[in-house]
Amino acid sequence: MSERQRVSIRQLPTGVPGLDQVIGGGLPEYSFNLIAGGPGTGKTTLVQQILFANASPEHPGLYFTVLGKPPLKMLRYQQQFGFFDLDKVDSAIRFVNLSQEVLDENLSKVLESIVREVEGVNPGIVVVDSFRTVVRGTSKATEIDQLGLQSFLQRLALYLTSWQATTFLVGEYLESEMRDNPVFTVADGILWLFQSSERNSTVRKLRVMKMRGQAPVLGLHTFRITQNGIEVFPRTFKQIEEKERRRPSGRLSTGVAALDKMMGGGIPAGDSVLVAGPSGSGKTMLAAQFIAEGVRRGEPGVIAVFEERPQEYLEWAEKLGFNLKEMTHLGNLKVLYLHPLDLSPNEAFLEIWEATRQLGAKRVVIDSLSGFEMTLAPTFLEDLRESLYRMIEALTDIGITVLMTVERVEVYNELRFSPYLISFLVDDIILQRYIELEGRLRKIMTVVKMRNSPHSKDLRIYEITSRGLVVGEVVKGYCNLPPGLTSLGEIITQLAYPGLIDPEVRVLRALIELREAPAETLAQRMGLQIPDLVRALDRLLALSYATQEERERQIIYRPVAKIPGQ
Amino acid sequence: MAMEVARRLLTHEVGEGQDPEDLAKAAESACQKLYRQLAKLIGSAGFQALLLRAVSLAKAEFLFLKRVESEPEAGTCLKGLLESVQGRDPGVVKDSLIAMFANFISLLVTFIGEDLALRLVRKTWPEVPFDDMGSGSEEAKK
Repeated sequence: MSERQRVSIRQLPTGVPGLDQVIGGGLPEYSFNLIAGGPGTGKTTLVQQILFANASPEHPGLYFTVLGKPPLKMLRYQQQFGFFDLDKVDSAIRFVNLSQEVLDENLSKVLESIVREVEGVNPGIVVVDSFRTVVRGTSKATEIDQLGLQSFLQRLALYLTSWQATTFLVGEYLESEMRDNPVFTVADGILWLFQSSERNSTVRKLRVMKMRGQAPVLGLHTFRITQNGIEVFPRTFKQIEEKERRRPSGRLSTGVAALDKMMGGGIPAGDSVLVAGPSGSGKTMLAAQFIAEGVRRGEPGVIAVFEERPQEYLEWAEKLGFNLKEMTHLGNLKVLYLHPLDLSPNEAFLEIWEATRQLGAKRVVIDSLSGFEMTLAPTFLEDLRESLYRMIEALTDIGITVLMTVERVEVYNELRFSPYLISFLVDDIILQRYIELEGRLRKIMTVVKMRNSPHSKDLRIYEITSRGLVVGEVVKGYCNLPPGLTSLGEIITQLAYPGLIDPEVRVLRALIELREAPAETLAQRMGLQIPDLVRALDRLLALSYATQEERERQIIYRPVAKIPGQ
Repeated sequence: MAMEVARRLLTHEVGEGQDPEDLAKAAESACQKLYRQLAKLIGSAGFQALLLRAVSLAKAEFLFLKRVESEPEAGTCLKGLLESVQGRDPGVVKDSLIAMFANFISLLVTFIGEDLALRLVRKTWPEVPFDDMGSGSEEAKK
């Protein structure tokens, strides 16, 4: 069929931030929808937000309330939301109570009442809250069967659609009912709301089960209910349009000249950078320096902090000589404090995204990932790496340079989870740490990895001064580590090859040197027993550091990774 | 605010008549009008619940109302009112009915807010002027 013959379906905006994106652009006009979920999941709030956003004197809304949801209470509580416009009540929106019809009559009588009201009001939007109660209430008296319900639903759907109304049935349903309940078949769109609890945390999620004629974003999307109503945080973050994608050229100064030099002239624009180091090593200072330098060069920035409130952060920066406060007043910098209860990565990302868009930011700092991790609801920790990957990708895809800090705990070989997981995702890694040198504890810095650039492999002493980080001489000779600390080489290995232990890294390095080899050749070269080698090779395959192929009845292994810094 | 609204709507309903029977009939008429306007929005049960409470509060102050029952669904809003007010001082009867409606309006304001409550009252009696009244929020909270 040609484009000219196709019916065009107008999409109604939901009035719920983030939801239009999730359902594929908006609500199909004249569609017959179901909003389902357990008690307290936000069904009524969602449908009322949609209703208030769309109802007008020309296209009024008709809201049928039924038993189980006393309208007096519903009006009382829903009025607390910002979207509840009192001027629309009884003018653009009519609330009609159907409790009596449900108590007294059968489904046909309910349909008659709905038809009577619809014909009187001529609504653009119709809501039945709760439809489940309509069916339960009337079925007691008339013993309706599934066929009867299906027939009622089809008549209702057909009638309301032909009356040019977009309809929402609201109801408490279980997912297990989807197969047998005809309401799920008749509905054009199904939005399912959940509350997911883990440990002490509860997170709200939404899923589009069905949206006829549209391409919704599948999967679970988190949402939050605030005084303004519902806000949805799409799990795919923002869809970046092709025209927006860009890889800027040039380098960005970190604000520390010697570090720029170590990085081959600065951070390649559009890279993601990880600054890892122990507490007090100056990660936050480097991040502030990076942002301040950007603003100085006309590149606005966004800083997301999790452990300090913006005011405290700005005051701290001021004491160190960075006038970030003025930068925020001039609109060149935005400091975001992301610390709501049970944060979702999507929610955090959306805030950062909106701020970067608003400012036209070129630099983003996330300080720190450790704080971010602690703010997240437990349910999101499992997918943290995936979420971070998508977040970093979305920002760098439009040319923003992202610098993140992460705390490394250096005692008793305790290795925190996050740094090693995310080091795989970033382009560049700067490592800070303490060493004992000539009887003094000193700070050293090194560039562990740069994906898009050659870089110095020096270990350099640095100091935290009133002018920021000042990088000094190269460390030469003997380095004595305080007891219990991991060796620097080991840390670099862990950062460069997350998930691998030393013997596996040695096998990978040998494989890189040979370019490709069967297990026997590798075993011979490394002097390893075949079972030990196979164990290491299996691990390299599992973590995608190597691939294998069968050639002339022999398994050949090939490396995927590069030597750090190359 | 609620007291003044109640006074105006009762005065409007009663017209020229001032004896207790006229006042009782006017109160019944006012109650029926409110029922027709509000039951669609807050449900018949919701209306009856509010009326029951309003009558109950009025009974505590005006003991002669003790036999009044609210049965809007049965077609009579204030069953037993006519009998209860017969032979009483018209001034006291008027005060008792104003108190009862004021209780009802205060309850409505408490639950759905002054803005929405007054809109509904205005819609019920578009010919009665209520626009000159203050917000009455404080009174509604009492």
